[in-house]
Amino acid sequence: MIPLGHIFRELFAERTRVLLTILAIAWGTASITTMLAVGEGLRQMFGRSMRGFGENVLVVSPGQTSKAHNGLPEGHPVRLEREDVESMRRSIPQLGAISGEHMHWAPMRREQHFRTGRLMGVDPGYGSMRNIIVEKDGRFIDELDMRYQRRVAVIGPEVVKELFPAGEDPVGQHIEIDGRPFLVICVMRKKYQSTTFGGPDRDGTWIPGTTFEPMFDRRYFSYLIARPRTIAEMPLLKERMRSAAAHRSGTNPEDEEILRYWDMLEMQQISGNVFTGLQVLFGIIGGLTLIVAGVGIANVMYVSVSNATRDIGIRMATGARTHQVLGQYVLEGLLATALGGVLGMGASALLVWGVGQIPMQGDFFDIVGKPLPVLSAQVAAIVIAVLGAIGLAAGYFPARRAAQIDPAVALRQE
Amino acid sequence: MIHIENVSKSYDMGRVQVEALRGIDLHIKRGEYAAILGPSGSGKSTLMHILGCLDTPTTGHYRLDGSPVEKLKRNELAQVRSEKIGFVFQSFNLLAHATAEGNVELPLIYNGTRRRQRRQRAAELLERVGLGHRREHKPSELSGGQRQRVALARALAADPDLILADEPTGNLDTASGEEVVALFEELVAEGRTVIIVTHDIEIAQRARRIIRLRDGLIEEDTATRAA
Repeated sequence: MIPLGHIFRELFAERTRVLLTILAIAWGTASITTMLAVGEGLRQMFGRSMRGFGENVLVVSPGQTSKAHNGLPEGHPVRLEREDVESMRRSIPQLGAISGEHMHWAPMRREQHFRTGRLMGVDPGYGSMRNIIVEKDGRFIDELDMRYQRRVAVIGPEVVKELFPAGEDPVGQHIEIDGRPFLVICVMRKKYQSTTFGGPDRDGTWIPGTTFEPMFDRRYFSYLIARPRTIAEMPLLKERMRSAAAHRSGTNPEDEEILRYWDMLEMQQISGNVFTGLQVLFGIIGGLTLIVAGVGIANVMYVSVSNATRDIGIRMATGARTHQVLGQYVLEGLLATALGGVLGMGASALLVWGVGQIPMQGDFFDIVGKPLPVLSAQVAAIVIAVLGAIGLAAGYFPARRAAQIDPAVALRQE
Repeated sequence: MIHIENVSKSYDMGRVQVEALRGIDLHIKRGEYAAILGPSGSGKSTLMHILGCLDTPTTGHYRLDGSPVEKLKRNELAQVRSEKIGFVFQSFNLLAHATAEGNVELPLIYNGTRRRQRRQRAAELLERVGLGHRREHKPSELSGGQRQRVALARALAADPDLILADEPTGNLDTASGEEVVALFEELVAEGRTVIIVTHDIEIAQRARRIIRLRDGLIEEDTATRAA
């Protein structure tokens, strides 16, 4: 093949033109890379904050009958209580985990620090379903807490800020909830969360459901949180839960309105599709920019082929085969593309790093997360593939023209 | 070495057909020193392109070293050029941005010679044409005579048997021209076949055989006359 040093000298001889081309490719590469990185960053942010609410979970809220059935009128409310949860747990094998959820706005106090906030009565399974991860030296509500109706509480980081402003470790301390003392057993680790019911978890407080019920004289749950054993069983789980609820309340199991579902799995899939679509869109925009740059390369190469007609004649007279002339121009195109690509990716990496340095503060960023662009290996792979294809095409067509030049005609040219 | 029988070449110039060669017979033996002489438009450049396998005849036969070349494909012609033929042109035809050494190396790049040998061969040949001290110079930094000597070194790089020169002294002053002609004579002495295309009778007369071309036909050939 043709030695690379020879190719480099050729490129160097055309340096102004080649430099402009490389800049065009760099620009195209930087734009596609940055756009894909932005898309990837958004995707990751939403994925992260989506997981913050809980992965593959089903939020169930009690509804009402939509038509009369078995002596019950239309609009008859369906209610869910502890007995429902227990019977579902026993009778539905598709159920991976389930928990009821009570909610109440309750006054809280520690020494001279007061706050009124959301207090939830939940079961032990709730923590892992809702991604409430305990900080190192704590634990979530367990079965014994439930059985003995213990006064223990799990608190969110915002609650910690207000009740323990001096920065003491809350675990093992007592706080007062609605006038009664509770032991803090853990603090929720900070997380990003895009979906909330009533408010973000960072300012929630959780106590055992069995403690909550007598305390506020509550029997019926606001929601149930459930998770299927495997994600494929989600549709069946919905059906089984509805028929279980219908069975206990004497309503029609065909009635879609008796339970309302908020299916996070579905939401995850929809948002996954949305972000894939967004990535494709960004990719297309960036790709078009890159193609424009590629056309630039092809153009420059065409011009250099025309200018070099005589040189190509000389090469052929000295014995160059078609593939050697072809190879030289293809290689020149690829080399220019590669240089531009490296430059562009470098610029994009710098930009991505720069955006990461911008301080993003405020409730939105704290709760949902920061939309930082991410230069993933996947993004890089896509860009390299697109670049390679463009470089090859941009080099090939002018090269083919060069290789078809008639040496006798080329040499006659002055 | 060269057997040309009834070769003609015509070009399409729009509607008009131009007949550059109109049925030529020519036989040149290995080791001959021949000049093709004729005014411009006589078809001598076309003849040289055909002899040099840069072009193929429209009709007729051409056997080079016994093998027919008139029907060869582009790449096969390139192969023949690469192995058997070295060119020297009136306007030198050096690559402007390559050094003297880079230009001499060119045929060796295309025939796949390794770098170390390329360097060595280029150095030897430049030494031989008296330019050992100008290896790193670009054509623009060399005089006309020097450029033509670089071109000659390039023509010799792949050690071809046939050297074709198209008006090699046309752009040179008398002294430089003389140097170049002297080099051709050395090559003949080595046993190479040298064919010079020219319209300069003085240059032609240095050759042992003169082929006069006029209007695409051979008007006179000193070899046949002698025979």
